[in-house]
Amino acid sequence: MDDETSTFGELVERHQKRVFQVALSILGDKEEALDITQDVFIKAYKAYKDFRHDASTETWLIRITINRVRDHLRGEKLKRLLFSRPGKTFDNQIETIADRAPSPLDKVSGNQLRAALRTFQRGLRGRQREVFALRFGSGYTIREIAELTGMSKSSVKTHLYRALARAQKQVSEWSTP
Amino acid sequence: MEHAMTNTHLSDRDMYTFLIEPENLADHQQMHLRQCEDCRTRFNRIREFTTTFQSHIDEAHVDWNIQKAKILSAASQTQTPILRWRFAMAIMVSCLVIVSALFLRHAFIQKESVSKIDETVDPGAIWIVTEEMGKTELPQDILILGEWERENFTQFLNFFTPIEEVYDEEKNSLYHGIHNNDSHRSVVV
Repeated sequence: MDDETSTFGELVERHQKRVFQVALSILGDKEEALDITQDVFIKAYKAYKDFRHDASTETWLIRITINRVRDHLRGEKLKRLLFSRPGKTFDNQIETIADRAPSPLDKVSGNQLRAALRTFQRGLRGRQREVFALRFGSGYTIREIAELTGMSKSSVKTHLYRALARAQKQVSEWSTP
Repeated sequence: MEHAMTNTHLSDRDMYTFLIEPENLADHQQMHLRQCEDCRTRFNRIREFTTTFQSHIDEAHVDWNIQKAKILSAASQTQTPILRWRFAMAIMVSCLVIVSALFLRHAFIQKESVSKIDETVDPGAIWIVTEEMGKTELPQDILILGEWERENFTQFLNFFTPIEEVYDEEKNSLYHGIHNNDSHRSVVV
């Protein structure tokens, strides 16, 4: 049991930052990302004996992370559907926050930019959000993203193009005086 | 070798390609990007956006030692499947012991109550005198019969062992008795 705990401790130490980074880049919320990180390692702890090592440990952990984040987002979506009042939907919130960031990109303050980034991130659809986060938040290549998400490379690229088009639209809005 | 700048501006898609997979943008387009200020400005805006996104992720400060301790603590509280099975087995065995104890207690109390009822005998019912039962050849199932229609019960008992009528002078009442060696005190009317 001590050996097991020690090995698991090493696993946590080696990969927790990466797992957190992926969760944060998709979710955009630090506390949520920390909770997800903890859940991922608990799941990994329970499932480690079944891990067949046909992928690297990091790949295995990041796949667990992505699945856990997907579950979390589905839960959030359901909560919004059940509990949000008419006129106060998430999309509306996005528009409201976006309206508060009228400056060109180079004039936007750090906090405003971060808020706008988060708004942009949350405005992306599921897969677009995932691949954008994995590419630009965590620095994975197209091939790695395809392996992690189970999508084809061309599908990953398509989602990335769409996410970037949305990003550019947002940047253009800020840049328009 | 010098490349002449092409006059065709980069499309949005070209810029995205350069951001995602720089190696996939043709040489002449890369050259154009270096030399065309408009395209460079457009490209820099979108690149700045993605760079800011990256730095936003990197800036998040977390105390990894505390985080690791939390994870290890949470993991130690989770039980492995084997432990869970052992726990479930322990619960099942405990339940079995409790049920057996209750069953035995029920059987014991049944014996006691039957023997007490004999002292306040109802003339319309047949009761089994349990303290004598252990010495007879009657099946133990009879012990739980309790109350029975007189005629049917007599026939029922007759199936196992002969029953005779016996008069009790002390109580001034008639008994149906079972012969067991020299005694005949098992069944009372």
